Parts: sequence; structure tokens; C-alpha cells
Amino acid sequence: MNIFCPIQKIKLKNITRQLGNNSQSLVSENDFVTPADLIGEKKPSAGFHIVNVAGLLKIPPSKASSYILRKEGERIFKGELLAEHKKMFNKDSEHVTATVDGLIQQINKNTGQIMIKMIKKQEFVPSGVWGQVTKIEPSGQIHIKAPVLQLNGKAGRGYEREGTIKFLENKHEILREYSIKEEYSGKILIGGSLLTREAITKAVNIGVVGFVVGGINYDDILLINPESDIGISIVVTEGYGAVQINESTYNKLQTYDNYFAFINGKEQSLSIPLDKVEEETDLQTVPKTLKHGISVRIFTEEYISSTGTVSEIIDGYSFPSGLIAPAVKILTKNKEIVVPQSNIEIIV
Amino acid sequence: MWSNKELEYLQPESVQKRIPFAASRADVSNFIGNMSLNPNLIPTTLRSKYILQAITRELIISKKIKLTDKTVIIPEEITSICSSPKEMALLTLDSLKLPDFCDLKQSEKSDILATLIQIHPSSRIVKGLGIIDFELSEKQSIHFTSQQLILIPVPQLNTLTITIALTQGDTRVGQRIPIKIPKSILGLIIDTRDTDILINSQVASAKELVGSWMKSLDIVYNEG
Repeated sequence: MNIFCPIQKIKLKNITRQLGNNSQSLVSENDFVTPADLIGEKKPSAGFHIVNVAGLLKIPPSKASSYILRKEGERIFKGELLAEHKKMFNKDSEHVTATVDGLIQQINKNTGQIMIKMIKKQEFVPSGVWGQVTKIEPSGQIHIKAPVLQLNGKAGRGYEREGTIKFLENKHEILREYSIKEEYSGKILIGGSLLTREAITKAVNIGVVGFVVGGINYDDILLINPESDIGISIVVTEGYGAVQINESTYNKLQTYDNYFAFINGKEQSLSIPLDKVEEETDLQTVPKTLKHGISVRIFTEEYISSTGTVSEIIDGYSFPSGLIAPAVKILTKNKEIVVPQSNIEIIV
Repeated sequence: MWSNKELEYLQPESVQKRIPFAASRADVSNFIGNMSLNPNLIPTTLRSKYILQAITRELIISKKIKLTDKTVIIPEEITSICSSPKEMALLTLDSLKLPDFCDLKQSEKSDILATLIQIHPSSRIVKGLGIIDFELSEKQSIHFTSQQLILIPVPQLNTLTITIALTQGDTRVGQRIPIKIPKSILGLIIDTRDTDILINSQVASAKELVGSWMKSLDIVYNEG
């Protein structure tokens, strides 16, 4: 029987802070750090940022250049207006603003995209965690052992990123383009039952750090190569399709709204730094066989993301599909249901 | 257990066309995705069973199972999504579209359902078949319409003669054509689905081929 731990307390997790090349560490090995401590100074290389004006204003790419207010070679700062689509009486006019500081390198009249060359600037990196520095690598990585609360997902994409947790108003919501607001820049958004392709595109343009969602369409996640990065990290907690985040997981996480966290799509996890962890979640002592009273999570299509406790173990149960299989009776929040033993996993 | 790689390359459209009800592409695709997360999933509703069976058919086809000495391998995964061995046989044969008579191996229990279970652990089943419309005896008559694929167990006798009565499309409509079934045969697969036939583009060879078919079927054939 599979064991799954949606929310796990870890006493010492290895957190890697990336400073990059040409950076300077401000701490030494074995130093204790708090989240506000500056651990390094980095000089990021000037990369490029692409803004899809046509996509954001919902206009044909060939017409986008007439809505762009800036010219090639101009300097632009974060928050400044890049393009505007004026509507009648200025009602519901749409705007595109810069999310980075830089120089407008190119305006592509065919694709309706603006390429911004980002300005090189010095940045100080805070520790972000309560912990102890264990290793400083010449490549600019600082490893810190720190206590965290870790959310484990079922699928994900994207590298490790950091940001502030922001809970969306409705956990049942299907996240579409209009659900993503400019104020979400730099945030890790939690909530929503389905993350759409349009919402991802808009979030990348705005500068959203990541998403923790219940579900995503399988086709959409396949479009993102697991080994590459599209500028955003996604953790899917339940599965594919429209599935809301499990209620108990969602409620436990809500305590951490506005907390600083690390999201890693590749590892399918969200790590929230804690000042201490009294007792670590012990996966070794969890019984690996089914028994009365044990907590389980269901992934049968009609009850996906539900959890409950085992109230009866049945040797052979005939399901409406005509299949006879070993089953369990599970007491969920609302009712008692029977599901095949293969369609559940023990949760911690 | 199907691997994630096999599932990842599965085309939802090709699965969709095998589902006997309207299911959107996204539904099918998400089902495939969830199957990759939980490969041991047992379908509890008829809807999920049909989708899973359609996925399995496509996977069997994509695996390009080779017919060596008229022997095919039944994939192990098929056991967890079929409610009976009969369903298993139909699903496998439907996926493989075997061309000839199905000579299912005889089990100790002399029972077609038992036979398929017995075959499964060693992963072997032998041959397949396709005919049109038949009678087991005067008392037992079964009528088939087009686009059907049905498996029928045959009573265990020394030999059995069944008669095929064609209802349309042949000069022998209404006649009863006897076919002898040997003792070893445990069941018949009735396949009345359309099958594409590729005929040589050269007129002369096409005429020769069609002529030979009509002669063998005892149909009036005009050499011109």
C-alpha cells in the first residue's frame, strides 16, 4: 500500500540559495542565520525579459505595435506603462506595464512582443530561513539546513523559486487569464481547481513566482518539458483535470498566508521555513497495511482528492463497473463510501 | 502496469474514437494523466471502465504485438480492467483484429472462461476469427447486425456443425452454409465489422484478385 504525506514537518531540510557566478558570500560555514540575514551579494547577468503585448491586450500580433507606447532603445522601469488599449470613453481600457527595469531592446511587429534587456544591478540575498549554513560552493550556492513545513504534490514543473504565499479567494475557482491580477507579481498563488494555459501565460508575463493548484489539464503540463523552465513553478496537489485542493491540506496551509516560501515544481513541493520543528513527521512508523481507523486518500475518479478513515475491510466487492475487487469502506466527511483497495493510499 | 512513457505518447484522439459515448479530448487526456499517477487504478463505474478499456486497446495496438506462429501475448494490465475473462478476450481480440478462426486452447475445466484465465499467466492465446451470422442448432439461433464483435462459447461435444445464413450482400442470401467445428474449439468470435481492403491499383491484377474471391465464394462471375 502506498503511503503519501501531503503536509510534512521536516526538522532539517537542505535549502539551497542560489547566488550565481560573480557573487560574494556574506556568511561562513556553520553560521546560524535568521530569515532577514543577508547571506550573499549577487550580480545577476543582464538577461532578457519578453512581454507578449498582443496576448495581454488580446489583439492580433500584427496590430500590437500601434498600441505600444515606447520605442526601441528607451529605458524603462518596473511599473511604467508599456502599452495601452484605449476603449470607448476610457472605460475598461487595458494596460501593460513593465515588470522589470531595463532597456527596450526590440519591438517585434510580427509577434507583438517587446524584448527588454534587463539592467545589471547589485542584489543582496536574504537567508529566508532559520537555520545553519552547511556548505558554501564556489559556484555560488549556499546550503542551509533549516526546519520547514513541506507540502508534497502529485505533479509539477519548473525550478526552485521563492516568493510570498498568497491564497486565492476561492479554492474551487478555475484559474483563467482574468483571475491573475498584476498585484500577484512575486507571489506563490495557492488555490484553484484547474490552472489553465492562458492563466500560466499571463502569470509568467506579470512575474508570478508559482502556483499550488488542485489540478491542471494533462495536455498543458505535457507542453512544459520537465527538464526545462518556463519562468514559473507549478505544483499540482491532486491530479489532472478540475480537482480542488484537498480540504484538510488547504485548511492547514491557510495559516501560512503571506509567509515566505520556496516552491519547486521539479520536486513537486512547497517549503515554508519555520523557526523550529518540535516533532518531525515520521514516515517509518506509519503502518503499511490497511486496518480499521487508518486515514486514507482516494483517487477513484468520482471521489478524487477526498480523504477519510477506513471503517471496514471487504475481501471482494462488486462495483458498478462489473469488476469484483478487494475493497474498503471509508468514512469521509459527508458519507460512507466503498472503493477498491487499489484506489487509495495511506496518508500521514 | 503500463509505463508512464507509454501513456505519455498515447494520443487522446485515438482513444476517444474507441469510447462508446461522448467524451471530450480533455477528459480522455486527463484520464490518461491520472492513470500515469495511479497505474493500479481499478475502474468502479462503467464510464471509467470503458475509458480504461479504450486506453488499453490503444496501448496494445501501439505496442505492435507480433503474431509469431499465430500466438499473441495478452498484456497483464488487461486483467485489472475487465470484469470477466470473456471481456478480456474481446478486448484483446478487438485490439489485435486477428484475421482467422479463433482456436482457443482447451482447459481442464473445458470451459471458455476458465481457458482464458488459464492462458493468461503464461501470456498465451492462440489465433482469432471472423465470420458473419450463424446458428448453433435449430433451437438456438443468433442474429448479428453489422459492426459487432461478440464471443460465444461453444458446447463441448465431439464435433459440432453450425450453419451460417447470410442475410444480405451475396447471391447465397437465404441459403444455409454448414461449417464443422472440431472438438478443440471452445468458442467463436463473431466479427461483423467493416474492414478496409486494399486492392492493387493495376486493373488487371485487381480483376484477377476479385475474380478469385468470387469464384471461391461460388458467386456468378463474369470474366468480362
